[in-house]
Amino acid sequence: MRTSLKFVLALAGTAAFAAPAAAQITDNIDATATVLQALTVNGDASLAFGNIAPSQIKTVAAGAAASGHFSMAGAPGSSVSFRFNALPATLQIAGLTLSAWTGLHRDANTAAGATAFTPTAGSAESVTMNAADGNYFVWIGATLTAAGVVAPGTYTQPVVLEVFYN
Amino acid sequence: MPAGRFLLLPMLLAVAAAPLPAQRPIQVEGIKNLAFGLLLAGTPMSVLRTDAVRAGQVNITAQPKSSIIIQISLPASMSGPAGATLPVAFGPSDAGYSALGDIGSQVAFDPRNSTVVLTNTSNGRGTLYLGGTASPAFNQQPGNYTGTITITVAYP
Repeated sequence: MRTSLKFVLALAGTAAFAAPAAAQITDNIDATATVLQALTVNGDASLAFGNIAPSQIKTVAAGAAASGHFSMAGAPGSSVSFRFNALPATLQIAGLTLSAWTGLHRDANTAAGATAFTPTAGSAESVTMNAADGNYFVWIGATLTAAGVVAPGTYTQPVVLEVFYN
Repeated sequence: MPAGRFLLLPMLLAVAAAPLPAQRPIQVEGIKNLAFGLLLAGTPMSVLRTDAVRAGQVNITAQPKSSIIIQISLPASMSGPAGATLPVAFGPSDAGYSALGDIGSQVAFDPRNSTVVLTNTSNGRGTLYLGGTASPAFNQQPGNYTGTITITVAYP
């Protein structure tokens, strides 16, 4: 009977499509990164012993007007380290010896209230750049001892400060 | 004809009654971002898929001991401040899959191509791990960058 046959066909068709279709599911994750501001360091002022006579000993304290001064700039609030890879033992000639290095550092360009440290070749100081402007400052001093006989003249010796992100 | 009708009905019923394979619905859940962290301008940074801290992680749940297809849509760059972009690249072994959810026992695959894997025999789970390389330019704009990675999973 045609009516019964049609009814059965309809039921079969319905049953064949009743099972759930396999779905594809999606989700996301992010790739993230933070690019830091490039670090810079500038030697702003030399450690200036001025005039020294043979056999004289002269000390310039870190933070004094004649002390050496470095300015650093980087990402505000970031953790960095600075160090002197080497500290000269002489001021260009053997008759002028350098010793007893002293240092100060802080995140504002004022020596008063700065943190004292002893500059040591290869030894790093870990600090935090100023949270507002990303600046940091270092002062250095030392003692210069002139030998009994020193040729008159002007003498210079570089002092190199290295800074890097932690 | 009566004989013809009675023959037809059982055949149709047999077709209708055959059970279709039941499959657990697929679930995909992003767990961890691919985090390159702090970068310096001009210095590329690579994250290994085995990096427990920085590698991206996605958990998958499906039918136990079943094949699934994983397809990953990868960005060519991350977007940052003032419209700046930071290139990011993915290599042939930057993705890995573990049916045990163990970052140390994953099987590597190329995230740029779809891959077919088997879910865990007992619980139907699996974990996708993702690494990559970010390459900031020498004059890269400082700031935060993000890019979207889309993971699609389906039964074959």
